[in-house]
Amino acid sequence: MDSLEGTLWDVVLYGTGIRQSLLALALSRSDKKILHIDSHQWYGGAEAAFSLQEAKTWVEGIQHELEHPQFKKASLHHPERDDSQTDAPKLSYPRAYSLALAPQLIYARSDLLRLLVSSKVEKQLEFVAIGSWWVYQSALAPQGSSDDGTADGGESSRSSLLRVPSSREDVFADTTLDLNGRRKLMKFLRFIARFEDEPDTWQQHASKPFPEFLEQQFGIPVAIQSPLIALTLSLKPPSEITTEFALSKIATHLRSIGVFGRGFGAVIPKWGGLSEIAQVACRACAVGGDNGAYAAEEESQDGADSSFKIKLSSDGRVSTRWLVGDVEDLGLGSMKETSIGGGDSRSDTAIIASRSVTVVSSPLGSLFPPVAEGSPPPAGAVVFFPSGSLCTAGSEEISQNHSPVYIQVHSNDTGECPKGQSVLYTFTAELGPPGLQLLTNAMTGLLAAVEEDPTPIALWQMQYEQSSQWADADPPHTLHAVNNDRIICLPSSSPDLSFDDAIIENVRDAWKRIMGDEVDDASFMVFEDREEMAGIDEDDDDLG
Amino acid sequence: MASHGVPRVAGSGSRDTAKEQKKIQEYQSLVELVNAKISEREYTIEVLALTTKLLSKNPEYYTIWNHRRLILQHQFTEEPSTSETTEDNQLPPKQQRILDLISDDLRLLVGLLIEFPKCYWIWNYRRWLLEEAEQRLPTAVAVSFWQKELGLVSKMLARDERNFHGWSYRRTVVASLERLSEKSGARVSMVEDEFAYTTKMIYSGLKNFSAWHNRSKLIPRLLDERKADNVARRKMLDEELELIQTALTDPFNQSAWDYHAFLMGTISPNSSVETVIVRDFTNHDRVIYFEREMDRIKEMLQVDEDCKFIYLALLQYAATYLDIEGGNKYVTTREMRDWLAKLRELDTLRRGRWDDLESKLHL
Repeated sequence: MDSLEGTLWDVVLYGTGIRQSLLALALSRSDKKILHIDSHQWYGGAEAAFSLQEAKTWVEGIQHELEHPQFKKASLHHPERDDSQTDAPKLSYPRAYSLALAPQLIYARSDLLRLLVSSKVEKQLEFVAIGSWWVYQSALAPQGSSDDGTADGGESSRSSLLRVPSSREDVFADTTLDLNGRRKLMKFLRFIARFEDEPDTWQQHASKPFPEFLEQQFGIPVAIQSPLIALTLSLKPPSEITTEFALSKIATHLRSIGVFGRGFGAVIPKWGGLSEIAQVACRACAVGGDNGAYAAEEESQDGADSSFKIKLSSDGRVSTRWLVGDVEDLGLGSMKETSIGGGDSRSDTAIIASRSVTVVSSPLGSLFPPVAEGSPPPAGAVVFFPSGSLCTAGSEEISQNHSPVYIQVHSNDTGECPKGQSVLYTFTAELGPPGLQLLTNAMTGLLAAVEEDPTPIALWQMQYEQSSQWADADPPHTLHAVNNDRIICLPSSSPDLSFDDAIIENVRDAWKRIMGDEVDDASFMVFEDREEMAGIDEDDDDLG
Repeated sequence: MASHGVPRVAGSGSRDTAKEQKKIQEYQSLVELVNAKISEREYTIEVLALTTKLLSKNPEYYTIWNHRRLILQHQFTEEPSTSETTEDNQLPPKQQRILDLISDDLRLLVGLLIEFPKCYWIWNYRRWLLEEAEQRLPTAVAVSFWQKELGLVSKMLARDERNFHGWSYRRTVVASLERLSEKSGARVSMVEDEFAYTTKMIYSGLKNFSAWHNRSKLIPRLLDERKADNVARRKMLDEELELIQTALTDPFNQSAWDYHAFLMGTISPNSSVETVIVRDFTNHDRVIYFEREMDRIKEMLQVDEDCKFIYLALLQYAATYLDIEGGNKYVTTREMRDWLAKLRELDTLRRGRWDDLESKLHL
């Protein structure tokens, strides 16, 4: 590849994370000359998907502080294989895996899918359905089923997974609830379908805790609230989830069901979560006739007139009118961090979570019952571990106050692992060793609750902490004033369970700044089919 | 002007009226061609293909379906070319030809049915094809056609469980299969399977009027065929009431109230469905059932006090209850007046209906 020394660009996109990649896609049909670069050998940035070998490299990178500082405390666990047992489950070759850093599920009601269609890249992607949602109930906890919360406890009970009802039909068939409990749930389902039209019921409670709202307005006691709380996908303890937030999330979930097909409402891209979308978006920019060069990086310098110079480490200096990237990656300042671990780990300005990615020795088929006749078999499931369902570190007893835990389970139909295995993606707000213990307890609980013989085991695991900046980062004043306007800082990625449409807002805002204010908002990501343009074959991906 | 200064988006996609005009002309010439050929009695396979083309664009043009019938009927009477040999266990060539024609047509039209699932003419035409099969071909062949239809209608109802064309067609298919089984000796009843099918459809879609309705038609037959005794009949009624109460946990589900009314009808004296489930009710028994159901309905008000269907049901059942046991204090006029007042409050649009109800109930 020719050296880039002295070349002039309209836009330099730094990094191939989902935001930068979607921006590349948005700009791919414009007349802008775009240089898209990444310091890694892979696409995707914080949304990358890894083979086992790539994951190992990445973990080591974090340990040596070579990676973006939003990732910390990474470790890898690979239990020794007992070769004497020939039929013991074992790991397949490294490239058989494509583990996602961003396994976010995408709701049907999200704008993302609509934009992927209108920008004509949707056909290059395959999606699989998220099917059932489950609430974990420990063997040691009271097994409540009646409305007033009284129940039998006892260690003779087994840990169980209760399916979250997402429709009238689910509530109808849910025998764990009595008639009165079901009536209340039905009433809530009816309300949530059009809750914006009934402000009297909820407006005054908007910033109050959601559990209180459920109890006061719908008579739904805490004992049967978990299925609804599960749908909020929030890592905060339930008392910190506001009513407004919860209603919006639950409404998105319920309104998404049935949009693509009966019985499900969310999808994930195959082959490693958002990384596929990032790759396809980058390719679209390359195909569009703009350069998709991938060189190593470096810092920014100031320049003159409407462009400024930046230095690429191996290819010299280039000039550009716009520079887009993550604040940390651009070397423009540091992310605001709150203190890690303990009390201050849940702040308003940053979200920090303990994460793990685990390959499990079983397809965990019981978590993926078919959603409806004629619908595709689900390949993803969500398991919620509410406060009061797990033991914490160093204790044999259930803690009532631990942070909730979520596990997203992906079957091999996602293309992320070979047949006969599955992948667990865990999330919790608890940090440090207590957080890791919580994740381990949740995983162990899940693998016991599926009641398989032999009990499935973890074949491979990586753990890490992920934090994100607040959404509206301003570039610090370390650069020349002229250039400040021309540097667009994108927020770093959050450890979310579902795709946040705010990402699209980030991209749209950046696109507008680059294209200029006269651009028509309605043209964002709306393209014509390439076949109608001269000669370019959309399937030609030899570039880049 | 609003559009001045707004940059053009690539390919704003204006309607191509020239293209549309061409399409309209093509369609009209096709119609003329088909009608001309038919009036000349050209009942050939080529013209059949022309009607296929036309009907794929417009299946609602019912005259063309009739043309198609004419063509096929003519083809059915044609002798096949004598070069075809007959094997022992095959049909005679003429019948084989009829079978092939019908089978091809059935297969060809599946796609059209999926595209236009609510077009009367397509369903009717399929029925006609199968009736022709029954007339002209051995019973075993007709049975196999009808069985495939059962598969097809199940698939259509899985796509849209509330398509009443599908449900009505299903009843025809089931009736035909039962009738044909009688013809070939041993009569087979499909009531149990169909009952199970309504259960499945209800679990997948609670607001399914057709499924509940079908169920109400099947239960009496089911009980007769099982030769159910009084105990079994009571059990069936109790289980159905349990089921419908569970469905009524969403009291805005009108189809559930319809089914509940059907069940209550089987408990009411002098109703059209009086003895279809339980046959040995004493007056005392009826009272007990009514009171229990009305208690359960009143319970619903704890959660859903703003649902008009609850008050309506209470009033209607109260009226019947008073017919059974006039002097009983279980239901008071005061209560009924309160329910009626609630109805007026919740549904102001139907004032006339509530006035009517008020006078009918002598409140």
